[in-house]
Amino acid sequence: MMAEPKDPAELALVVKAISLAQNTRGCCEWNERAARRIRQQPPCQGMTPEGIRESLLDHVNDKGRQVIQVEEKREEYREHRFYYKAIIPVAGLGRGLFVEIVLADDDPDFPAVEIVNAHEQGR
Amino acid sequence: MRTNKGDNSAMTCTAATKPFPWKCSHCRRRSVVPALVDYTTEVEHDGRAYTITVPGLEVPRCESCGEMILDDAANRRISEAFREQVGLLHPSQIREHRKALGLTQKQLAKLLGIAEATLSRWETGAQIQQRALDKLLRLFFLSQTVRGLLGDESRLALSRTADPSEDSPGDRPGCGEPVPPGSRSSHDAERAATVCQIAAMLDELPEEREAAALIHLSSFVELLRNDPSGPRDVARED
Repeated sequence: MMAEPKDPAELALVVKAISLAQNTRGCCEWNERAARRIRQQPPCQGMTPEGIRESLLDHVNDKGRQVIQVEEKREEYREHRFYYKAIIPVAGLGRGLFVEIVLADDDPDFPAVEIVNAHEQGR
Repeated sequence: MRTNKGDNSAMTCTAATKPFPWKCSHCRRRSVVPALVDYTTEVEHDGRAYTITVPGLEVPRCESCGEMILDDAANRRISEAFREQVGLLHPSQIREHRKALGLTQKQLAKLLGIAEATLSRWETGAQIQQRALDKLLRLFFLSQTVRGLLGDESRLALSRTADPSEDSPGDRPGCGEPVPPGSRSSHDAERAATVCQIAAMLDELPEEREAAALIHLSSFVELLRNDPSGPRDVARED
């Protein structure tokens, strides 16, 4: 059973951003430092940042699965109250792909999220 | 073998752009605007590290703190530059060559012995194939002989599944095991050894010459196939 989100309004913006990202550039993109790290340590042999982004959009928009709101407790990331996680089934990754995003822009018309991390779930 | 490259058209195509300036997730100022940068990054692939530089890459960048965002187009350009530098087939090339042979993703994946999902990710650019598998793809696309070999292997696997009494695993030697001369298993083992020899020879070449060597090899095989007097042992002709 999924816990109720502490901030449903922010979660709605995140979901809207991912939905808009199917047709709008700038609504779900990679944080540059995170993408650089992923290219140096890909979570799955040869998996690209654009492939991870595509998997996230497919996971939420096409498969209708959820992103989960998590209260940020790590001191170094406290600039965001929450982060959002999705665990995406990927062939070759036994427990799936963990993708972490944050709300970058709370513009109600064009909200935006940034992908800040991805790795094999349960690592 | 090079054709048009890197379109990744099967992936999401974004038609509009969120109006600039965007909000920076780092300094929280609304000052992210498009910028042109000479972008350099390290890419780890197949246990090797490569340094990739993409000159004139357009990226959204914060004018206040310098934080950058890599949008989909920027990431695709970086991946394309990587494939180009390492000499790997581009997603569109894999897709076009497969279609030219009239194969579905499922069929090609089965022939290559990989998961269909993996081939799908190669064709959309979601995943970059390992160098060894890239060589196998090139051999497969260029050489009818290799396609025949892998097709035979696939059919044999099917027949084993269909009729376990025939050609049972117990009758088939594993790698390096002795086989009776003249038997079907012996013939399969010889063919497998030939493919391994070809791959080993390619490995000895500088990466930039592998494609040329494959083209020559393919032409030579076609020549032998089309020779009405049948294949000859060219080594003995002198």
